Amino acid sequence: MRVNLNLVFIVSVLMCGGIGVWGVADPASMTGAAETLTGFALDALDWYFLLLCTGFLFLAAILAIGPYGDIKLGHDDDEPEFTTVSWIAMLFAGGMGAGLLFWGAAEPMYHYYAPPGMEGETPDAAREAMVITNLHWGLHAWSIYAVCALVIAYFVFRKDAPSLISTPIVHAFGGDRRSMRGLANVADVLGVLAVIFGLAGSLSMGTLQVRAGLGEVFGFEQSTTVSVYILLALAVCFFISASTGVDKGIKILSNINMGLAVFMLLFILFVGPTRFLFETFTTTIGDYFSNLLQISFRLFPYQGLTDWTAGWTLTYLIWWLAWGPFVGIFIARISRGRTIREFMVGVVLIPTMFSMLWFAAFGGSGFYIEFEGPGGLADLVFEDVTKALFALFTYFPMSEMLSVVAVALIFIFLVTSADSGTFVVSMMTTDGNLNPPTAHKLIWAVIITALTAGTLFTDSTEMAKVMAITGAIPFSLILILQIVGFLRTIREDYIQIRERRRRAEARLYAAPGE
Amino acid sequence: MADVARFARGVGAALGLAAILAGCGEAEDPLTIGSKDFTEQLILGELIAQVAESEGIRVDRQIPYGGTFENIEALKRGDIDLYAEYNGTGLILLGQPPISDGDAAYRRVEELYAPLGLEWGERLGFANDYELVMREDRAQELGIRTISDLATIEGPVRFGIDEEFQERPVDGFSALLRRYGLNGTAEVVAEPVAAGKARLYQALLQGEVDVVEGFTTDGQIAEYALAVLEDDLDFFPTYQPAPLVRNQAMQRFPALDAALGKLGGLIEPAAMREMNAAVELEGMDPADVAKRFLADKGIIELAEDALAAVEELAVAVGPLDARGNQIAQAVSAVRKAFQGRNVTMLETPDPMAALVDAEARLALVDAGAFFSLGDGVFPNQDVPAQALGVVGYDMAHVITRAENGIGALGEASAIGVGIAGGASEEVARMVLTSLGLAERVDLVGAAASTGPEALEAQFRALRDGELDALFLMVSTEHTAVVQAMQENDLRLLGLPEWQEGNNLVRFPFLRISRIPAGTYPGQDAPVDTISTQVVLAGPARAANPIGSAGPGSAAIGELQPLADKSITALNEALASPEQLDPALPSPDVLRPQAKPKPAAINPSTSYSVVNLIVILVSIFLAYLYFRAPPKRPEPSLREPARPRGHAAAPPPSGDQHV
Repeated sequence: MRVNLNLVFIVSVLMCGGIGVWGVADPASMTGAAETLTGFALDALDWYFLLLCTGFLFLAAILAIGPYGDIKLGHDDDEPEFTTVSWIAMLFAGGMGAGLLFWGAAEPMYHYYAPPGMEGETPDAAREAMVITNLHWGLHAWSIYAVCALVIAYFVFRKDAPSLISTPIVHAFGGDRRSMRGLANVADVLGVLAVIFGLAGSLSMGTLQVRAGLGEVFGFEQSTTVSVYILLALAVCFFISASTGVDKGIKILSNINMGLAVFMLLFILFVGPTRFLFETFTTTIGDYFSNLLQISFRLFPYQGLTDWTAGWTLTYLIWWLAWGPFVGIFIARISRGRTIREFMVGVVLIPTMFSMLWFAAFGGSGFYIEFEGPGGLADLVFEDVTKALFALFTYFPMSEMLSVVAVALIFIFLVTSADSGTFVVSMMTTDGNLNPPTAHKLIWAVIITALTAGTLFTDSTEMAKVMAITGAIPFSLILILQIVGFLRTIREDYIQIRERRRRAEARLYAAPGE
Repeated sequence: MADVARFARGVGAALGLAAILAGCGEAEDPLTIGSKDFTEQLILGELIAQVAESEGIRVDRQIPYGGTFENIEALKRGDIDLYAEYNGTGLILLGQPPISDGDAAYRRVEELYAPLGLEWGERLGFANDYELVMREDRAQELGIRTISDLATIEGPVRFGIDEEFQERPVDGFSALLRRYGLNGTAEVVAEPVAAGKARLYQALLQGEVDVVEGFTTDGQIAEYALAVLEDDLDFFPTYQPAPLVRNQAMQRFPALDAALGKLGGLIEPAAMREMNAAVELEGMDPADVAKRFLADKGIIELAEDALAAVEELAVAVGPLDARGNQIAQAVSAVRKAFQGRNVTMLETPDPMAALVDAEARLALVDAGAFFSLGDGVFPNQDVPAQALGVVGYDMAHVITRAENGIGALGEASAIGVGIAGGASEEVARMVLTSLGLAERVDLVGAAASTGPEALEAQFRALRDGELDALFLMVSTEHTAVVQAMQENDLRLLGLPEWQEGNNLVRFPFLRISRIPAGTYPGQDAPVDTISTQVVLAGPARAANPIGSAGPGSAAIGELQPLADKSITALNEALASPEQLDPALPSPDVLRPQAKPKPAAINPSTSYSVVNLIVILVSIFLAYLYFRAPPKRPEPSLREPARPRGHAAAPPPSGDQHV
């Protein structure tokens, strides 16, 4: 066991170091290599990735509705560890948080201005924009997370297996662990790398977002020095949070963040054009669900718009996939004691409805300005996406306060993401310890911070972007293996469970007769 | 606290608006406001409409409604309730002789229109008289000061006029020619132009016509320093605008009288000129111009938290290359294409640098700005920018003293290039280097901070002999250069040596062009020089890891390239008949799209192989799931038909205690 742990840990650290040094020493060649890989995969296999991600949605639906839905993630007498509110707050904080702020106004505006295959700036374009936005942020995204989480949570809490990427694979195909060691280690290392680079890339981008936000609100200079100060503040916060454990640091920060986000949402909803926003929300629900089947499989092969699909839809889906191992293990960790049905509703349906409302509020306000006001916001999104949110705020009273809250939100979201990421990597490299030692977490915290700083010093946003998503492509294969393993296991278990239940029932019915 | 107050005001305004809307529910038709179809009338129509609205009157804008005749007819029929008419025009419409005294004319029209059921409101405060306008240089050359002087010209005088002026019977074009006896002594070429005033001035500046009709309040007259010909025979009557209103409308809207009263005498001639210039030269919306004017006068309040455009869109322009109407044309096109944005001008010596540093969204540059000379033979196209639309042309003006100047560029030892670091300097350096003169000739940039200062300093240096020549990339309509050429005894040098060697191949964006004889005073022969397109440039699309669109392409804090839609809108607004120079980097949307045929039925074997592998792996994974499914329990242990009730429950087999 000890050797195994060290192997995954050592190999992961070495590979992180190697790729990190390569990236800092020669960012152009590393970015180029990663771009080639990602570009090739998204170009050659666009249909495969779209089918795969839509497949997760179907799988999530089948699991929730089907007979497996009653099975508990945990022993039958386990109770949920966190309250439902805290649980959902943590889901958001770990899963998409900062991006939701960043793209809340920008994405609906973007698609409204230039929708694929139709004329922009029309009422129909606005409806299409909301549908596309929710395709990217709605059911698909959360289904990916949910499936990633479920396959781990099931084994960890029901079978008391270690919380590792390799667990479902080993459990289903391994028989004894020894023969599977090679594959298991590869899976675990790939998982760690996907998390570390995904996190470092996202943190660099997040730091730049905070910097841009500070620039918009307080007129901060847009320089590497400022980025490094922001990263330092970030690092201090998440070191503190990381050293306190999941039931303190992350939970408290997530709840604060959820409070702030809900406040901001309500502010936009009720200080903005309330009726218009709820009309947008309602219309979007109908448009989204009635188009869901069609857009889930839409690739535009005849219109020559496959570029668009690759750039938007697939990039988003891959992005969620890249975060899958990390958010998945994190969600698994906080979901003990919930049934699969409850889990799917909590992880897929509730966040989707929340983000639909979010986009209806922020995007809808943008539409209101375009349709009823002077317009110009959509064009601004094309000029600089960062400005969209802050520009939208200027149409609201107390816009400066809103901007400050937004920057604070992005910052805390980054802290919680970094914290949960560190936590997950530490679990993965301590053979699935559910409460990994603090020293271990700090080592990974330092590595992630160093990689982020390196990325910031190269001053290349491309580098941050490719780091954020490249890990997803090899990981997608591991994920399918996990799913196959999970499905095989639950198929066997279900037969036993059903049998046990039948006997219990029989006993119940028999009892009065005796 | 200020925010709270503002919020409260916003709520108050919203309630007020609701009250107005509710009040209008039972009211009859709105007040219909017409206007004629030129800039000043659009602004006046908006002014009246907005003042009426501030008095709570619901307004239907028919702006513009048509020409003078359409408006007066519609007013009589009742299709419109009011429009702004000029007292001079009012007289002429009824066939009355023109009156030069404004007050007398006003009293007369009041009397004359009363029987028609039409009422004149108070005059607005300025007069907009017809004038004949010439280019200053041309007027001086021909020695013309008054309209009578036109008769002294030998040969044809080319007039630029619009349709309305041509049609007006009493104070129109034919009447003018008859009054001044011009149709007898000079051959007159009338060229009616339908496309409005702006086009007339353009024709005048470009030398297509000699004389155009203008209005006293035209912004262009001051802007281009044009010469106004004196009306020495008092032919043109005075034209003071005032709202001309149907009596019925006055009765229907009791508040209208007070509203029009507020406008009485409000608009100074200078203010009207400014407003006209803002619309015609800067491309602002007449409604916005009117709103700002009324807010300045304190008549309406600009709601602070109104849904107003807030974000700036900066267009970088060069100071020296105060390219006359090129800047106006470019900025006005940007305003039209980016409605809802607050378009500003950023004056900087090097507009391209401002674009690259993300200080400006667009830049007005010479084609040369896209290239740097580098060390090699060919210039490098290494600036991360692309050309988005053609604004016009700049010609290389090599200017030297008429007496003891140089005979060719090669004889110079010091050449001035406008402002230091500016666009002219880069092109000048390219030209000198490729002609092999870079070693021998010093390029001197002026250290001044503004364009006019720089030009003045350079022309002074040339006159004083500190410089042998000036090398300026400017359009031939550049008023400051025209003026300097006039005041100093200068002449234009050609660049015939440019055609030698392979310069035309190396610098495809610098083309040979000819400045025709007579473009500048004293220039009696055409001059062959080089010219380059003046374009609006925007940020280029950078290579992106994940395609050219999508969340991955949206770099944080970097300026993105313009959307295809904006580029198309910009080109429509620029309305340039010409396409971009193919030597310039340009976005795909402006390039003719020729889709290459696939070479074979399978365009990429590697894609096929990868696809095949993925399918095989998927089949294998499916096999992993389906192979050797777990054993089902014995058939006897299968779930029995579920018992409906306790009584019907079959006795379970003996294993219930297992």
